[in-house]
Amino acid sequence: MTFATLITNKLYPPPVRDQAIPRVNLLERLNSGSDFKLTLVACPAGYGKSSLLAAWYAAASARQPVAWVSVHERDDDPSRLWSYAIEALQRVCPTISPLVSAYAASTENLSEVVLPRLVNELRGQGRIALVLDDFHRLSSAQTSDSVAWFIEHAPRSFQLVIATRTEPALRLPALRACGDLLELRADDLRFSLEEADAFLNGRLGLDLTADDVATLVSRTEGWPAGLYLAALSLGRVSNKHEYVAGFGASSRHVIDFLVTEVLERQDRTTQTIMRRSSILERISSPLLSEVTGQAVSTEMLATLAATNLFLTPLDDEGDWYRFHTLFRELLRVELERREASLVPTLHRRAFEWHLEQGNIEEAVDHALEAEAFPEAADLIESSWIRFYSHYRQATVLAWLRRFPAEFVSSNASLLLVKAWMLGLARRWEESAQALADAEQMAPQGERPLPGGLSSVEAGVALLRAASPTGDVGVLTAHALRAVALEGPASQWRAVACWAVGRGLYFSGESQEAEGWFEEATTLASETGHTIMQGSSLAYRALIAGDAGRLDEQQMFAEEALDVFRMEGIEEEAGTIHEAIGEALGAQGMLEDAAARLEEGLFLARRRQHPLDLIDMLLRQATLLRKLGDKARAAASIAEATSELESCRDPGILTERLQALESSGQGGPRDSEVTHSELRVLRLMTSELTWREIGDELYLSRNTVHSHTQSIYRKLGVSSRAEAVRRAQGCGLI
Amino acid sequence: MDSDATTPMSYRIVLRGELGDDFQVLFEGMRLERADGVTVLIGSLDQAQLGGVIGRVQDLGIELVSIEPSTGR
Repeated sequence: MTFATLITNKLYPPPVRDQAIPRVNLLERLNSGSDFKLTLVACPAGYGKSSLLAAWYAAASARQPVAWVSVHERDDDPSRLWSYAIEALQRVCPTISPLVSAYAASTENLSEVVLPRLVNELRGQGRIALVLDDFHRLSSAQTSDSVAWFIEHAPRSFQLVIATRTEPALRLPALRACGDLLELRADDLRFSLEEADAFLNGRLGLDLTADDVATLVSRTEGWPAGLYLAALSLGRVSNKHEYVAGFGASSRHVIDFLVTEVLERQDRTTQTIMRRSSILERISSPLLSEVTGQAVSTEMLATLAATNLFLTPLDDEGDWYRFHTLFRELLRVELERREASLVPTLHRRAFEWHLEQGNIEEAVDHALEAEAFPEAADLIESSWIRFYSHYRQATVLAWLRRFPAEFVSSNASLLLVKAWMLGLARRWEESAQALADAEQMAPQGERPLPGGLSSVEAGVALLRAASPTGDVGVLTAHALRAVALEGPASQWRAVACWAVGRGLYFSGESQEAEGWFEEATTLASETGHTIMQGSSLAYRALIAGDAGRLDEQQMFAEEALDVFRMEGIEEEAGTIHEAIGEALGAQGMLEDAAARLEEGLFLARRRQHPLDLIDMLLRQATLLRKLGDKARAAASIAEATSELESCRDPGILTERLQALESSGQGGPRDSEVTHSELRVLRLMTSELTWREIGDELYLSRNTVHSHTQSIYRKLGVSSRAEAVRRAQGCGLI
Repeated sequence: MDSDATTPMSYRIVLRGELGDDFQVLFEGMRLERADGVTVLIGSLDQAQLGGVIGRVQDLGIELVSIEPSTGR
């Protein structure tokens, strides 16, 4: 399963360079990594990690599939990272099912569904390895947690190799303690005298004396990058011994000493080009020509790359290259030294070039660097739907932080984008705040917005209709407002119709709701709002099932599943699982139905939409009763009841709950209430809500929930009030 | 979890090796001083910027000797 924007050169290592020396001991140690849960190559920049791993990749690929991902800051989001990793694995190991996909998966979904599937697929595959290079570029806890999970659960036949500058947060102490970690560090990768000699004299032909090599090794402490920088200068120096002596005597840091030396020995044009290229992450000749204002041909770049190890090709065609970060940073210093005032212009040229090529992300980055805030804002506003549909909220929120605060706070559309992105990140309070701020600007915002929304008011109404709420009346009101504002020509009408459908569904007006969901489905498939399309189909399945139209129910449930599978997104999976569960139940497959509903509930509890959660719990209770599991049914009803308590206007759900309660019984008894359960039971006599009880006792909601289930089962009751009465009656509290 | 920038604090960051003043451009506008085989970066940074400076140091393969919040300017 691929997506069009994947840059495939991320999935292959840099080529092995002629000048690189074979480091046999290190390669053997890497081979032995197959016996460990994690092989970690952790050392600062310039030690030749990537070269070493590229060499290892070349050798190991002859024996087994080895996948490679060059990680980037933009991958700092579990779904994005794993999309690349899975793609890389599927390429070298085509027997891994193409249905395993992390594309746009939510974080919970990744660790609960996608990664377990991946692990299962990997089990039957024999020896495979995956290299994650530049892992230090990731900083989010969620991303490292997902990798830590994988390390824990991957089959023994799988070798994960991580190359990084810094200690990753991957529970290394535990791995070390169990002997599950193979580490290669700076001291392992330093060049010895022999290696330095093989490199400087053997490969680069510098013809240095043993003493000179020793001085260089001593001065650089065997740091490969330092040795190479020295070599680059030495290549153009007449009296090498004198140079080495001077280098040895200086107290300046090697990089400060050497970069100037290296650059000053190039011709003027090359110097200029190299300096100015430092603002670019990746380089191609047309881009470089545009930015530097010099004519740079593909041959020039190729020659430069051949003679400079710090410049690596990124593809086979010789179109794209990048400088090693270390070298690029040094070039940046040079740029600042000589042409500081030119920097914003260079970024602006890069922005325009990338914009023309349609490379939105790079264009935005350069625009922000150039402080071209209006241009950056326009670009974000016109493309944010794409980022929204692919769960790239972390990227967009990071961009928004780079604007001056007043710029964002005075721009209604940017505030709207921020609100939507915060919503995706489930930071609902901040989202509501941004929405409120956007609304305050409504007078200026009553014009069509670049993202396709008709106005700020529409955007606000829509987001409010989609936010978690326990108030059906308010939800419906916002949805109706949105649908009035987003006419048939709007790209957002699908979302508005979906929102109205939900409002009506929770009000018990299923037939009317069906009409709106139908419109939503059609519009969403046209405009690419896949989440809305799948979700609308799921609700239609539920409505059809409730009305006894079983064939339709089956059809809609399957269509919904297809939509999500094709896009690989299962964020809205709560409703999907619910729909499928109900459809299975209708066919009499009660056990499977119950399992599906449980999956849906797990996701629903995290997503915090109380109305959906209650709906699902009630359906689960009905199903469990059919299965004869009265105790668990009672527990579901109990949870639904408490959720209902915090809903201002639960619509039809109150009636449905009452109907269930009046037709139900309690569960089996016996077995002692535990100490932890007793603590919860005591607090049940108070006015505290379940959440507050959890806070009071430092328990998670899931834990409070399971204690409550257990208490009800043991006391043979199905509500909080009954539990209290029974417990008081028994003298328990 | 992405966290927004926090209030800036003054820091004193010591690096092994002496770097010229031009390197200031890589360190978020911190002031640069040299002494006895080390470079000292002095300046005010919020959490995000601090992370950026540390990242830069690592990008360059420079050894980070110490980071201290500093009082006074």
